[in-house]
Amino acid sequence: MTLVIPNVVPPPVYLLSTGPLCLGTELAALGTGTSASAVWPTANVALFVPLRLPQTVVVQQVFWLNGTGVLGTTDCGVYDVKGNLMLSSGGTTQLLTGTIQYVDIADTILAGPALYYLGLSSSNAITAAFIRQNPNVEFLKACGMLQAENANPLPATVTFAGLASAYLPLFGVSLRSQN
Amino acid sequence: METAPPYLIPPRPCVTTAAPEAVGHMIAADGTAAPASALWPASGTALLVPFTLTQPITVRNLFWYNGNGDGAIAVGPVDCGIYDGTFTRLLSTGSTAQAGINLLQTVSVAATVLPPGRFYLALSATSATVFRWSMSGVEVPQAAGVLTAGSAFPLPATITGSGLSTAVLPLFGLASRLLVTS
Repeated sequence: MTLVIPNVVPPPVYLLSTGPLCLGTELAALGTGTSASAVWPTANVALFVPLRLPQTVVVQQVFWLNGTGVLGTTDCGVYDVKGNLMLSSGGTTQLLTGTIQYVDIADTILAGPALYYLGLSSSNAITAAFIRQNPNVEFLKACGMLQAENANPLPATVTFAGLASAYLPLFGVSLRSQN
Repeated sequence: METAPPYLIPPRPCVTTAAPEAVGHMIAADGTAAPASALWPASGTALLVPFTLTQPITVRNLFWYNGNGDGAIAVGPVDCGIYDGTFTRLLSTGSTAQAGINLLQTVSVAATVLPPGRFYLALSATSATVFRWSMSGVEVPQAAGVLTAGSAFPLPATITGSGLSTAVLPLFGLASRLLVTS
């Protein structure tokens, strides 16, 4: 019998918006600065980041990086390319500044290889609630980011629209239940 | 005979110069500053940036990042396209007037399927200003496989690449969806 090692690189345990399966390479190439806490661009707007999933995975948690002024409700999830919600935390009260906030979800299979969009929305556009990168908005458009208005909590289906803000939050999904 | 399953990481919706499918890793490793507006390096010159696809992709838009117009100097036109690994043009925008200072400019193209393989993003211009990296030396983009071609505006049906003489690398690319900027 011949053993063949599959030529598939397993995805990292955290699928992060600034990781290699999302926009990490582009951000490095575009010479963006360090991440910092900042006010969400518009209340109830959702931001979407392309995720290239190389193989089927089971998502157990979603997470985002809280900034210095947590407030309101946040929803974190994943959409397919047609705008169908695959999984989400549901509206979740932001807790604890300067921490990663994890939300356990029912184990959910994301079939791969496929293209998805990580989605994050917030009701709070008053305080600096999230850690984000802020390169030129045209850079982020060129990288494939999108947005949707009135999308908190994240709707079952969403109509993607062109990005309007230079705001790339650090958030994602986890393939393990511990953090 | 058994064969290994293919490496099927899907391509991004937007494949730009900065993408890992193109030369993004090399730009990042060079520690280059963020792209900025500047004049096109030489009138009629095309730049060819290699990229690789592991899965088919349907191209619906080509785009580039317009510069600031550089004061009194007229801008445009620009031609953006894709060549295959034998330097045969597969699609292009044709000569297109620049519109929108400091903005991405997208041009819809007839939906074109690219199979897995090696290709080149091509951008050609005359007096345009575009957002571009200025690499640490011409050897860096050259080592990443970037080529240039003279007298290549508009982009010809076949093109002959040659060694680079400029360390300039513009931000441009393709999109598999219609929506890019609005």
